[in-house]
Amino acid sequence: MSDYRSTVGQRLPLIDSMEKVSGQGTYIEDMSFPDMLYARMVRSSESHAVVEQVDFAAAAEIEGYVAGLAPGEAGTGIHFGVLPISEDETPLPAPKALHSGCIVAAVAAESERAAREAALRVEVRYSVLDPVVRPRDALRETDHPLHPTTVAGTNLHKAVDQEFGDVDGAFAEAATVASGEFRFDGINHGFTEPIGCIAVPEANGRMSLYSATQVPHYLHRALAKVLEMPMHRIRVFKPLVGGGFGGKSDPFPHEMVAALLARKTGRPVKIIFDRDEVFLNHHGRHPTEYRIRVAADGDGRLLGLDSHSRIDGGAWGSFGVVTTYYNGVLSQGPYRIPAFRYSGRRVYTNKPASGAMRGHGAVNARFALETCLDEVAEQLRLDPFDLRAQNALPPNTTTLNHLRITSTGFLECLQQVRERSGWERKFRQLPHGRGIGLGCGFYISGSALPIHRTRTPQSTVHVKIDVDGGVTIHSMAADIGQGSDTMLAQCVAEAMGVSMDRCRVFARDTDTAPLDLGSYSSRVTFMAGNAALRAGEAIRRKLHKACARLTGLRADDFLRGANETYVHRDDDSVRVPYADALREALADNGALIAKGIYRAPKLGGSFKGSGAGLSPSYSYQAFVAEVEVDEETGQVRVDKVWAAHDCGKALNRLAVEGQIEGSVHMGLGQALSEQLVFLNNGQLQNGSLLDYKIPAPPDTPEIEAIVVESNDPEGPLGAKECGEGALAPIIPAVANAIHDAVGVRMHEVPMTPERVFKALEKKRRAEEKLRAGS
Amino acid sequence: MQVPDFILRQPATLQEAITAAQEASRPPDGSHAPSAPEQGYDWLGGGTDLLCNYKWRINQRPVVIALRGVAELQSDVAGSLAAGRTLWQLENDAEIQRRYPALASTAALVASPLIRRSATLGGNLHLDTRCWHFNQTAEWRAAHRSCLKAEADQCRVLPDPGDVCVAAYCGDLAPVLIAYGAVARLHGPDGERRVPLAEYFAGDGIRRFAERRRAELMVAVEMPADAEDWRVNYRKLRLRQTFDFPEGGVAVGLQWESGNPGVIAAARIATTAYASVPLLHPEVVELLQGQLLDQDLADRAGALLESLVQPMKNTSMSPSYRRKMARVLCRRALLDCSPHSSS
Amino acid sequence: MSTSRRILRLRVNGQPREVLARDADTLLDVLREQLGLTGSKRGCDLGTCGCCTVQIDGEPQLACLTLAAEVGEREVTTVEALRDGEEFAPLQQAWAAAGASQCGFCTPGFLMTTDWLLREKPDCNREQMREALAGNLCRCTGYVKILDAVERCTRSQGACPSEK
Ligand SMILES: Cc1cc2nc3c(=O)[nH]c(=O)nc-3n(C[C@H](O)[C@H](O)[C@H](O)COP(=O)(O)OP(=O)(O)OC[C@H]3O[C@@H](n4cnc5c(N)ncnc54)[C@H](O)[C@@H]3O)c2cc1C
Ligand code: FES
Ligand code: FES
Repeated sequence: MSDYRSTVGQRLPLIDSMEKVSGQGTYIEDMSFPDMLYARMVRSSESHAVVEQVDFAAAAEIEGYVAGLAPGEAGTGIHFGVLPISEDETPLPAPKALHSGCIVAAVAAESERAAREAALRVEVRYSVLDPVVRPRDALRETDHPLHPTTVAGTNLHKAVDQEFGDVDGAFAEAATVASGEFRFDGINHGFTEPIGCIAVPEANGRMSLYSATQVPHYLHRALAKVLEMPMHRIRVFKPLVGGGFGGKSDPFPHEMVAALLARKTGRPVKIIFDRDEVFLNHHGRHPTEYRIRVAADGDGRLLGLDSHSRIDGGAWGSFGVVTTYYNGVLSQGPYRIPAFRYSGRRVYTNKPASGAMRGHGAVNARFALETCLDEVAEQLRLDPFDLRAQNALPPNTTTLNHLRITSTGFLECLQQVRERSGWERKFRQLPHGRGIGLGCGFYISGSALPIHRTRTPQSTVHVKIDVDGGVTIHSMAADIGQGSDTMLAQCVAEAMGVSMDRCRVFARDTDTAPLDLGSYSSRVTFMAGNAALRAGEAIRRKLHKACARLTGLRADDFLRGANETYVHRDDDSVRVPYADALREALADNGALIAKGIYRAPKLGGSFKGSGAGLSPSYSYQAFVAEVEVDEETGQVRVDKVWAAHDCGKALNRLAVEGQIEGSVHMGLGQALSEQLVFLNNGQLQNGSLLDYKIPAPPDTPEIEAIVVESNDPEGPLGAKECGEGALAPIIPAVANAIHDAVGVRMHEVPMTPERVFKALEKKRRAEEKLRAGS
Repeated sequence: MQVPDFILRQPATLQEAITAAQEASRPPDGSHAPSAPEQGYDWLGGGTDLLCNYKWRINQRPVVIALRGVAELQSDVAGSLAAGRTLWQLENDAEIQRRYPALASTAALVASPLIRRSATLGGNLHLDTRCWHFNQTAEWRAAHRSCLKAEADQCRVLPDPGDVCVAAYCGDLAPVLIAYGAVARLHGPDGERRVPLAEYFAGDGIRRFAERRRAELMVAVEMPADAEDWRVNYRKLRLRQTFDFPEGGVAVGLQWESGNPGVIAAARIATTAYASVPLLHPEVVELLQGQLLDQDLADRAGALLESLVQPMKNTSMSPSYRRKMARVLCRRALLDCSPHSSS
Repeated sequence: MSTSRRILRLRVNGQPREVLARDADTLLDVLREQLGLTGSKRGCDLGTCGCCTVQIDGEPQLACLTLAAEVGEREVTTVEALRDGEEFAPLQQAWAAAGASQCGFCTPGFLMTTDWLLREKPDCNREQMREALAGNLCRCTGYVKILDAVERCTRSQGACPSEK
């Protein structure tokens, strides 16, 4: 027997945490290069307009002005985008500016100050078109659609219609139907590090782009397209990234502009956005209108789900096609739903683009569903927990839309929060004004289909060991603060049976790292983690061969042992220290290298859109919130949150809890205070951290993160995602708690004091009417 | 983001400060033509309002006169609070907590603790008025072409504003100090004048003060001798527990009939964030005077206040909600004053 | 208008530093762009995130809203000085161990506020921590592990940073 002690499940600090606490960690804003220029964007004053002319004459008079970049110049009109099916962005308008504040030109100057002064003096002539601002107007025909690719002369970007099972029949036979129309405002990622990049034209003719990005690979592709250079002539480098949450997961115009300006001037060009520009760049959660009906029989068994979403895509496609699908598809769990209909419409409007944000596509739909389930439970006088438990998807099943369900810890999530929150003595029993509510969730653990059709694995990890005994790990998985570098180190160390401090992770540079698709769709632990394990195992096999040579025993009989040794499976007195095994392995051979790959299994049906929502595994959540509602003001205070999340296996408890807690915090922001507000012309009203209200420490309750482990058969060491799924459930949990507290159902998110107050007024009026009538 | 250029003056005495202001407001041609009071310079307290505005290129001036080094603004003299004291000091000063508890507790409601480290009393009282169409970046305002108070000649809040600006005054301390009956001590080239804070503010979002004199600044806020006899309370409407400016704020000050606690002998009511200046509400005072403070009286006072305030659509919450909340804020602030209330 | 500049003699992290700065430069501009002290972060530049928090004479202050020319003789301390050579401050160690940094961008600001807090209120409870940290935003952690880290450094739990 092996005496190896695993790190799995321990509380491991991030491997870069000392860098971060020392202030030495290098983020993009901290970097500079010799002879570097600073660029400043010139932004559109119009919501929808053809850019007729850009005049740099007045700007050029500013001391330090070096160059301008205007629409029409080489590369500025080349289309790119994260999804090949909607490559509708261009570095600069070609020829139209599509929202107030979008980039229309840029200037580069010797100093940041000169660039700012110059940019303010650039004169842009527009010929103005009517903006389309409201999604419902975007469905009408128009002479000036935002993009030539829209559907039938309207501003419709993507339509999805899916139906499985006998939906009408389900509703006809239902004992009860809950329904609602919901509205969700747009939400911004709100990462603390503003977006930025530096383009460096290398002396050998290559282009390097340093960028705060979560998708170096997609950025690499887009740059190649826009610069019309082969990919091998381009290098993308990702420094420490100060949060992403989906907001750094597209290739962006400013990255292209930096590269184009660098090429034009032959000098490094740096762009760092001000906070308001981060909001303009956006690509956050879609403003959404959601209509839903849920049918159940008299015992609370779900019979059918019928939903429709209209999502406001803003100016560009981004991940929007995926969002359109996810708004329906991801409602197929964690419950068994025998009949399902969904239609989704994504429209273009003259506003900052929406895109992917933590919990991508699942959050708003989840709110609608979980609120309706609460209503079903109420109508049938069932406990909300019982209702959900009896409809839970069992393990090893397939949903109507062919999602393959393997591991699930959903029932345990329910049980855990039910007990820990004291539900039994609180629900429907707290004094008026106080309430408790449940919300559940289901999320993909990595999108099984890669964005580009290719047979290349989604993740590859390289490991190298040499005479120093250190373990060098190369990957392009993007650590954006979620700790993927630490996860890679742990997986490799675990597979090799060595200590994590031997590991150094280089997951920054496309020149040295093997391909990984990046940090989105909650894929990194599952995919890159599996690849890392395999790489680590491959190199350990080489070490075992060395052990065999040293001992004359069989390589296959060696196991990982305590204190970085390899031990014989039948005789633990036969033990080879790692250092000895390594020395032997290097002899006549040189550095050991190994690689591991991950490619998702082939999954899913063959109908249109069958790829959406496919994942090698899914995460599950059950959250409870306890709230206090001030009936006179509508103010909601969340006192405590219990959040149980099935992450398969917690490789690192500290990191898993951190992801759950952070998701809950972000979800509470969307639940109660965060919203993007637009003027009638589509201009963003509140692009600042004062007016876009992220909860601060005193606004954030204690959050009890409860880790549930279902041990996924395909996950790395049993793990699956924990970074995104944990956001959605808190919002309906709060709404359901508000209902328990004061008896109103909230249909608009965020549930600001004003909206809660209005709902209460409406209820009071209805009650008065009732009293007057009787 | 970078603060646009200015020349910083750092006087050490009140007289030097006033002289610096006089120099800065002299027209560049050297003539002695009368100029607007603030033309050419701004005072700088903690800079937590001014520098944010400057970064967004809002009404910058070529000269900034820092008051940090001005000795007269740094230390209190008997019965008055120096204008240069930080809000952090006000909230943590045991003497202030004892004598003017509502002032200390309100200071602690302003902005964030980090901002309050530099934010000064003088700066808070002179905080520029705010509006969603004004507190925006230069590029935003240029796209919007919309603000009387900034560069444009129209207004997006009122359809036909004339030259009246409706930007909101959102300082938290002014209503509380008014409820205490505080008096502003101002110094200018012609020496000192004293103006009750209740009469200090007037006009619209641009003019803001009843009388603004060239090169004049606030040295201190004088607390009347009877301030401690007043029960003062302040309630603030905001979304987050920190950072956010008031969307409405109501301060009440009550004095009981002697020997008859609970019966109101005198009252003061002041609101903030509902108009371009802190407002007094004599109608509510009249309702309260001579009455026993109970739930019903507080309700009626709140209802009356609700009917009096007229917030505009220029902050993040809607005018109708802010107006309705005036009732709640007022009622709660009043009930907090009652002899049995803990605060 | 011509730019008004001056030579500033600052004391930063115990060292005298001389810089030529514009009158309008903030302390954050000078620290980051002239002194190469990039530990203090610029999250908003408008007082709304706390990422730029430094200490001036031991008290936390927002470097983005402080004019460099107004600092005068006062001692400026940035995150870089929390560490004493090889030795990390107990607070920094607690931060890492508790998982209080995820992306780490808010970390320097939180550390500078917290370092003061623990000196001032070595026995603070979680409610008091929330109040004291109300000027710092974090988007990653939900503050739970941040408060855990501070808690580890309270007097009852361990070493105070002032006793480092
Ligand atoms: C994120 C954020 C949130 C905020 N929230 C609030 C809030 O909730 N409540 C609130 O009240 N304020 C709030 N503020 C505004 C501001 O921080 C405070 O009002 C602060 O008290 C202003 O003081 P200061 O010394 O920093 O002012 P400064 O910025 O230095 O000055 C403000 C104005 O007052 C003038 N001035 C300063 N001192 C004098 C003087 N002695 N005599 C005459 N004029 C003078 C200046 O010329 C300037 O016009 C907030 C600010 C920010 C950035
Ligand atoms: S950068 Fe100073 S508070 Fe945000
Ligand atoms: S750790 Fe990312 S913002 Fe705090």
